[in-house]
Amino acid sequence: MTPVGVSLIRNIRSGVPGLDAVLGGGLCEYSFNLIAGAPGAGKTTLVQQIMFANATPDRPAIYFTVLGEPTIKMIRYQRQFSFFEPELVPSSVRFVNLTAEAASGDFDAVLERIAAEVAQANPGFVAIDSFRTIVSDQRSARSESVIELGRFVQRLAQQLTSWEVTSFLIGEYSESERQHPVFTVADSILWLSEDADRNSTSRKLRVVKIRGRSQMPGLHTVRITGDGLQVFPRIPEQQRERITQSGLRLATGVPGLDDLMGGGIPAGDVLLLTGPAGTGKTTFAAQFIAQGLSEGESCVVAVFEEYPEAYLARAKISDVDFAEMIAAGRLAVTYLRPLDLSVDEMLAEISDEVRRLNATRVVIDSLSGFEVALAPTYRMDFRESLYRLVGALTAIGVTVVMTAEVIDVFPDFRFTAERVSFVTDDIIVQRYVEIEGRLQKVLAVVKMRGSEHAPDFWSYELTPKGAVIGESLRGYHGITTGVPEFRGRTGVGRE
Amino acid sequence: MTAPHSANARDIARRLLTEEFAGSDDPTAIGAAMQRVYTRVSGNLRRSVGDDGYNALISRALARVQPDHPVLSDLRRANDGGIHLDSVAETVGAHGAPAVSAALESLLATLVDVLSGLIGADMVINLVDQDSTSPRTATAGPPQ
Repeated sequence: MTPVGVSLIRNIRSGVPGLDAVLGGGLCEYSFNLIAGAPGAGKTTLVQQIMFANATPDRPAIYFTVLGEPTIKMIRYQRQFSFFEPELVPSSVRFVNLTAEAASGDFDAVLERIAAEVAQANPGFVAIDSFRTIVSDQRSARSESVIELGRFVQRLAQQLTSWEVTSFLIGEYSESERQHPVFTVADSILWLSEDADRNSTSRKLRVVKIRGRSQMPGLHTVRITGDGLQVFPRIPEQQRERITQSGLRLATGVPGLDDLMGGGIPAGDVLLLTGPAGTGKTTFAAQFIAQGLSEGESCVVAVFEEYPEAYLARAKISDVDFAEMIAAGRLAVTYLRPLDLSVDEMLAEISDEVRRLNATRVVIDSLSGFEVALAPTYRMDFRESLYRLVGALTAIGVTVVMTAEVIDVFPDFRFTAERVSFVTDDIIVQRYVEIEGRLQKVLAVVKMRGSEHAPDFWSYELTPKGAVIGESLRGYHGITTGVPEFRGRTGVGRE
Repeated sequence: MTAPHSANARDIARRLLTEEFAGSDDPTAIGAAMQRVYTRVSGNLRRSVGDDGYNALISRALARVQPDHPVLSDLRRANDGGIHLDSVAETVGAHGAPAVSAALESLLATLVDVLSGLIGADMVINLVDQDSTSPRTATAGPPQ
């Protein structure tokens, strides 16, 4: 007898990166799955990727093709994917054409042929592509077809499960067809979609239904490359709880700055560094990375606005050679190609690098570039995207420094252009002020969650070796106007 | 005369045929063996790519080969169900085994080449030479 709580259903690894996490662990063995979506959404590729990953000569996969895309064309294009191994055809993956049976207009003939092929091959996996073409023909041919169709789907599901087959019905359905009998019978329904927004397209996957599992809710980004589909789970598993490292502070690498922050950045915090162009945000962030590297930590930098080579050239502000650190496997500079990304893809890229290097420090340079790199459809949800990105990163215990450019509009005093301060623990604002006819860079630590910090404005300089904090501007009034007036002593030192 | 097929495809076709009637000098036995080869190849392809897919492929191959092998017109029977080469034995009786064998070898080689151009040579031999036991039902169209 099976003990209570022990699952009878074995998980099958799909072979599709990211999909198993979305499905709550993988495909259910012997399940009857519907893969639905519009033409071009990636349904055929998804199922073939699963089949090539799992089929063996002992438990082959049978891919039934029906009216629709000609088999030769389908094979011609599918074999361009790296997962399509020609040597597995037909020993492990068999293509069987059901057009004649489907065109005959007889459910029994279709079922009989499937049964005969399955009985002969003893497959572990069966796909019917497109199932929709079978049922469409039957529906138009017979007036009593709705009941008969339901019966056919039920018989098919029953037989395939009894034969210990994990099956996939592929169909082009629309949201308005959810009353179709196959939706009721299916153990799981995966819905693939493709949306165009201006000059960008994005593919998404949704698990509409899965029996006996807790799937990951929401729309998950899908990207199709030469390796097939990759799913980027919307809510990373690691996001569920945040790792806190009470008491530990990380040195910023900027001389004098740690004192203003009560001893450095609390480990696991998210620091936002914001200021107008030329105030040294990238330099501060690079010093933060260099400091970590010099202390033996590993780090990841995500750049959006320039290629890694350009970033490395600009980041030569310390004795730590970033290029050498990359070669040594201590640093990753990730360039996230612009304009069509989802936050899930960015997160996957950054998270993969963090895990690969066991990194403790991450720099995102910059949020403005991050927003531009997103596909238009995701920009509308930029704040939510950032929230999820930051949540996922802090959940794996890294300390994050993000830069953001703002336009100095005096006398306004803006922290960020993107209204993203809510996702941060700490904020440093940089800006220009005019003092005695000279443009002076100043900064203030305006937020340190749960921590003491210096309330003053401080001057700082950008030197060939990086940023250096100068003196307090405590004697000045009206700094936020951009034209402060000296009314008392200055250079009172750090507190 | 330029061969309408590659040397590699010719080798595949020749192997398929000679394996079936190896050692036999009897024209009747050779004719029957060639018929079995063609039936097996066409059955495998029909099973994988469907009747329409197969008919499209064999039409293309015939168009390329038939000018050099007019004997193929005697082998060929076309009806609404597609193209069928089911008169091999009879044609051997009329034209002799060498002429029919050469025509069939050329046809099969060209078929391999056409299909190779579409899905890759590495897959073609697996598809045409797979186990011919097909559980097709009576509704699945005319048998070959």
